[in-house]
Amino acid sequence: MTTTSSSGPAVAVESISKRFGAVQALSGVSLAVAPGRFVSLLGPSGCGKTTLMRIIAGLDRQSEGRVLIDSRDMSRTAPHRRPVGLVFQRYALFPHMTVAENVGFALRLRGADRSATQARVQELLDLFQLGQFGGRSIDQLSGGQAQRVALARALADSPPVLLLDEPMSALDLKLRQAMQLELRRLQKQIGATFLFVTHDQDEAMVMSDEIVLMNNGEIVQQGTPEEVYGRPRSLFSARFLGEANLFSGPLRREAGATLLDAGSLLLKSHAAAGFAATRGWACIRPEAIRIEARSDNKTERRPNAAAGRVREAIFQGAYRRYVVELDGHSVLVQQPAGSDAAPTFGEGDRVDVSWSESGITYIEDADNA
Amino acid sequence: MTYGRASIIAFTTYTCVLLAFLFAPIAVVILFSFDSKGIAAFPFQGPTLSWYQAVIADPIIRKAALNSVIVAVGTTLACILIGTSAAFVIARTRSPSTTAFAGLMALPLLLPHLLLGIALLSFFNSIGIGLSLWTAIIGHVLITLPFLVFTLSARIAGIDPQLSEAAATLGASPAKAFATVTLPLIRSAMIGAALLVVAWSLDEFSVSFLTIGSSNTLPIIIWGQMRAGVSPTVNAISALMVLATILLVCIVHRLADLKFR
Ligand SMILES: Nc1ncnc2c1ncn2[C@@H]1O[C@H](COP(=O)(O)OP(=O)(O)OP(=O)(O)O)[C@@H](O)[C@H]1O
Ligand SMILES: [Mg+2]
Repeated sequence: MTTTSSSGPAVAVESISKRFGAVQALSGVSLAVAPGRFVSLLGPSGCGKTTLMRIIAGLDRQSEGRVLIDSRDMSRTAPHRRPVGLVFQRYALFPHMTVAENVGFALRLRGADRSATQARVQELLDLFQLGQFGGRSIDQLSGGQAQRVALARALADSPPVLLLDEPMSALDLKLRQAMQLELRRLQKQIGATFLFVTHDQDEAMVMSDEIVLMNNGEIVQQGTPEEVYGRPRSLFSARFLGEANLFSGPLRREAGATLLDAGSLLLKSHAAAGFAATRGWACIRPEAIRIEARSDNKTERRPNAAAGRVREAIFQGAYRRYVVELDGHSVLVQQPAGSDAAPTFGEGDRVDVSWSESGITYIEDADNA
Repeated sequence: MTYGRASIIAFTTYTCVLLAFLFAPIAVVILFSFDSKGIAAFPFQGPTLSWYQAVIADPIIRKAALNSVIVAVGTTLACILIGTSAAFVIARTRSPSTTAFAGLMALPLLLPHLLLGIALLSFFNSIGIGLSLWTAIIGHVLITLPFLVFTLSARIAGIDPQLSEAAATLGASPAKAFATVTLPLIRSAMIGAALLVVAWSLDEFSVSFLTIGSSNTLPIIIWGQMRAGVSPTVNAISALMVLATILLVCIVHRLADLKFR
């Protein structure tokens, strides 16, 4: 349908800003998505995710900046001329059409022949477990079914770029997990570029090649799920994606290592050579912390280790979580449950916690504490 | 909630009496249109169709009926053409000027028709437009436009604006999106509103009388004949108009029930 130029990004926005009256919904957003990638937009409510989607689809006009689709400037192109599909946050199914008619809408528009349309519609309905719902009117659907119809409708004509605005928010956990895998498989199979908005960080990590983290109308970090989770570049990233133990204090360098002095705790890493700030934060993910029974009664300060007492022990099925009270700090520790080898602890137990240097990410003190 | 038998009977009786009181005059008109006596008074003398034959044979009445239909159809088409876009503006934009626009639209609903008719008459005279069916149509549009605009805008306001956007992202041009999504959703409201306009235009007297010049519509004929007393011919014309209105309602009901795809 479209000729894909080999190298350029499938979608790119350049310095996009959007104001709604006094509200600055987006400020200076730039993003390039390579063809065939599955990219998730993640961020708190109101940070501008939907607005960005609408601008890419052409439904809203940016106040500033450019939109490039398949390396062509489409900043002023009408939505129906952009090779971009959109799954709406609130479904937006056509109430005067049946489920099958909704799904076949794009195909009928383009004048595809009847039997081909029917076959394609049935294929999609089956794929989304809606096989027997084709003849239903859309007000006879549950929220989750309506959402799947919306997905099927957007996919019917195989748009090279598909924008999905929280397309699975109405599904229950089981179905959602199944759909996540299904959607990912489908995306790989058709080779389309997906830009996917979600509130759910687990969903973003499971599905994405790349995560784009947004806050306050700006992109704060972009990278693979491993990078964004493992190497947060701001307190916001550290806190928004997963859980984080955060320690603040002055930083100093010593024989190629960077040390952060957080009072009773000393953090030390050789892997932060480029980090030049004199004050900052250290982020350690809960699963990067080891927990062991107290071996001795030494109280001197050692780097990357501390003694403490378990204040809370929580069993979560796949995990055990502990809140450990240290001298002046408390840390969250998470360990896989079920393995016979791992010792378990109860409230009040005296324990040692420690972490390896690679578990530490230093963050500049740029944004507020 | 359940009601006692007595209260149901009381309520039914009350409703029936009320309806009978409201519809009795119409029934009487229809009854006397079949009476051979020649004056509208009891007792009923004997059935005849001669008044209907007279009405149908009368070239002046036939011309007036044709005029009524022309004015009603013309008014309705003009209302749909002008009113649909106005309804979209009122339903889809929020601004002080939209509110002012809507208020202005509603004004003809509130003004006495006699006054509107006189205003139109002196307006047409002052700018030198001769009175004709056309000027009558303009007058009728002025009065009936609010019915159509407000019926339609209420319906449009109930349609999710994202539906047109969804159609656009699926490849529909604005015209296609209107034809495949918006129009089917407002069609029944449009037909209902058009019916109101037709019925209203067929009925209208004061504005028609003042703006149509030397032509006649059925209500003008009725009024003219009434000055010589209530004649059986008038009853026959009235009965025919009631019949036409009922037919119109039935047709529209059928149309509105059909699913358009
Ligand atoms: N049409 C509009 N008029 C005025 N303000 C708007 C409009 N659309 C969005 N906004 C504002 O722009 C900001 C971003 O909104 P947007 O819908 O993009 O957020 P979001 O990230 O999609 O949030 P959510 O996760 O809740 O869907 C919000 O402050 C919102 O109130
Ligand atoms: Mg949103």
